[in-house]
Amino acid sequence: MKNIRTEELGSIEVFNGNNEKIPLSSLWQEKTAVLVFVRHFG
Amino acid sequence: MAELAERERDFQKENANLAVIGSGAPRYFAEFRQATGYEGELLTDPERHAFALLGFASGVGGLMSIRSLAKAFSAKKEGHSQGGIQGSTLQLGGAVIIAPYDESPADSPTDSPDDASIDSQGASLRYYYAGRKAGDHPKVADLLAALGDSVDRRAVRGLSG
Repeated sequence: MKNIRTEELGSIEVFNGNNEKIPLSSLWQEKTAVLVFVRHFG
Repeated sequence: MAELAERERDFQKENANLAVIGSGAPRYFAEFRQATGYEGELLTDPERHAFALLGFASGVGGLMSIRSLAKAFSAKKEGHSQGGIQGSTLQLGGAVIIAPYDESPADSPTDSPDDASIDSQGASLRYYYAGRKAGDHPKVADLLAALGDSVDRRAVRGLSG
């Protein structure tokens, strides 16, 4: 099992469909987050 | 990916935030949605910071085989139509489930399962899957089961001792 620092992961910013930056941590602020990474699109 | 799209509602039922994260530009989102039927949260990590941290992007070679890379390229060239993104190129590279707080009882910190890692903020990793080669992907059923575990952990622990 990989030892992941969720704090570090949460600080990473990603872009939503409006091209707005959001920190990943916002996804698990209130609910459990399921993050599925796709190899590539576009 | 298609299965994930079909079962989006099951994640809502589990009260989870489902997000699909790619690395393409947001202008491809509409095409992605058309190709997959996925309607939920869609995000992109163009610099692949999260991919790298999670070990999902150990170099392009680790991410996809030459063959799938070639497929991706030809898909790109064909381009602009809905068919521009091929189903075969929409493989799930990996997945994580992160709970907002540590559900383990405070009096037994060593009781956390092997598959969880808890940080100082309390958010905890409940599930981790990394595909090793093109075609590997987490099963949607496994993701949902892990969510169930997360929610029911106290009850399960009580029953199993």
